[in-house]
Amino acid sequence: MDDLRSEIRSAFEREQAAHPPAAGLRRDIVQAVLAPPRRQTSMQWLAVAVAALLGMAVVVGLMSARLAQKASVPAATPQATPSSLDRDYGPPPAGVPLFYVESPSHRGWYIGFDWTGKPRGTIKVAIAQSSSLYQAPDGSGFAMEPSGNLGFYQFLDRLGQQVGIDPTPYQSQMWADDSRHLCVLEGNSGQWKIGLRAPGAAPASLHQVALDSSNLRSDLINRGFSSCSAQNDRAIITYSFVGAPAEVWVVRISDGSILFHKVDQANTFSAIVASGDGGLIADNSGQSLGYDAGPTPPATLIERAADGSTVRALDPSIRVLAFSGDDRLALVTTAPNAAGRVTHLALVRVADGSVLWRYDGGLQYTESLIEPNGSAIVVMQQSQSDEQVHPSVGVVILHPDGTSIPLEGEFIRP
Amino acid sequence: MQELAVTHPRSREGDFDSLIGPHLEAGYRTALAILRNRDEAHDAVQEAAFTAWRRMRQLNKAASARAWFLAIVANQCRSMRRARWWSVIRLPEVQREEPDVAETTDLDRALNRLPRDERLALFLYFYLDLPLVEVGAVLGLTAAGAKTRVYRAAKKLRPGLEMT
Repeated sequence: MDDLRSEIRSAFEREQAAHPPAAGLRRDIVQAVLAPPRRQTSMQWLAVAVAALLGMAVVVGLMSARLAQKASVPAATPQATPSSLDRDYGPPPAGVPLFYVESPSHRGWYIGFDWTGKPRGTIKVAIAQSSSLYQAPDGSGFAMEPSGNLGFYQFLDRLGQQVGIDPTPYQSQMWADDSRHLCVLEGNSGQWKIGLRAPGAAPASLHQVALDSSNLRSDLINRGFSSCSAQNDRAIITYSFVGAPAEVWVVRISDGSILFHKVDQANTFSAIVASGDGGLIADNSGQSLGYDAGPTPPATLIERAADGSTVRALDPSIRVLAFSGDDRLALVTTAPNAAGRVTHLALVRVADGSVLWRYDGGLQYTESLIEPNGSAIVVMQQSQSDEQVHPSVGVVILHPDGTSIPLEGEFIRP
Repeated sequence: MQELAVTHPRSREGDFDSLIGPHLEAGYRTALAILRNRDEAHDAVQEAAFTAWRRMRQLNKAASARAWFLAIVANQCRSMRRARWWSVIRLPEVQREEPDVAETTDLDRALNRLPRDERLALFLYFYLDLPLVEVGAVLGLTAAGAKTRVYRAAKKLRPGLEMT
């Protein structure tokens, strides 16, 4: 055992030695945590309230003057779990786009709702506590890590039956917009390669794509898909973190050619978001992420992925969270993320910036799901005190006319 | 776990630095072991620090601040993996020229193929030298459960292993 202890320790030491902590880590983090906006809980709430007001004003002033047309619509407020959620709705129907949330009372039961909010089926999956279920855009397939196994995904069909398992991990993969394929990014040969594959199957072909190979060799390999469109033969690969230059590559999947590439300066743009069809990119300003210690651009930008031309400029305090499936709408948070929580949301029309829906309550944004090829967006929200990986969430469906359909009860984020 | 009213009402700022500050580096190293990316690890430990600040009142007087904070770090890492599931699949670490490269890479490869909670258990126990009770606190297990987790993971690396 002592020999093994020594060997394991040595292995971790090699890994850690390659990326030592930054000098001044403790000082920097303690200073950041104790900075005035977070100094007192009560002040934090005050800051959030002020930010909400500013965010609303910004939305009104910078985008369009249509805010007055829509009253603030409360999102789904978590309520007591109704007994109807204990039900098994049977096998999900074929050919009907569904989105899934986990039953609050049966671990591994996932209830599929259609985009009108009607429950249409239940799948039952033996899933590890630490694992998550990643649904295809139309809910006709799923990926999960069995027993939390790093990188080796198990794929399930519409009924929750296993259809395949990864023989090898990939650097990055993402469900395509056709729900039948996944984009994969592979770098095992020392070169980046991109391709499409069916769940659990090897890619029919991989094509070299000229991302930065020196970065690959250095083991700083955090390239990942932000969009995968089999329908448009386009993938968007991003590298975006606060504190590092953000990069975007728009790539043709079928041959790996780079259609557009841009590099932003460190701390200006980050948290890049792309639309599902690969048509739009949102460059979120550092300020919208709560980064105030360095340069920030004068706007958060929505751009065409084809050439980087600006479609709409938003106030730098606004952060785009997601685009609708038809690229008409953007879900945004209207206040800087300075308090570490996204709570103030709005649904805006990309073409003219008009606000269709907004939420200024106390629930925290968890995740959104996009109606495939449609305009609806599902928003999940949780209590700010719920720190679990799979928190209890309220669910609301937002439609392009500004109406919202809250699902009754509380669910678990898959 | 028993909740504690604020133990040091005089200065939460001072408390934070003295209670959590010494564990930030261990937090970073834990995040690196899970995420295996320097930028993400730094983001994770910073977000975990913010969470710890907000939840200082929940720190039990009897509990280890180190285990409490590392548990927050581990949860933050899981959330980050969940948020961008496609970005967390890592390539095998670049191999280095060393005399015992074959044995080393075998172990590295075996470690990398462990389920992440088992890998984390080994990291906490063998690298950070946490006692089993603290390993358990980070993983949400009892000390006995942590011992089982460590043993099971170690046995996957050395099938004939006996553990006392």
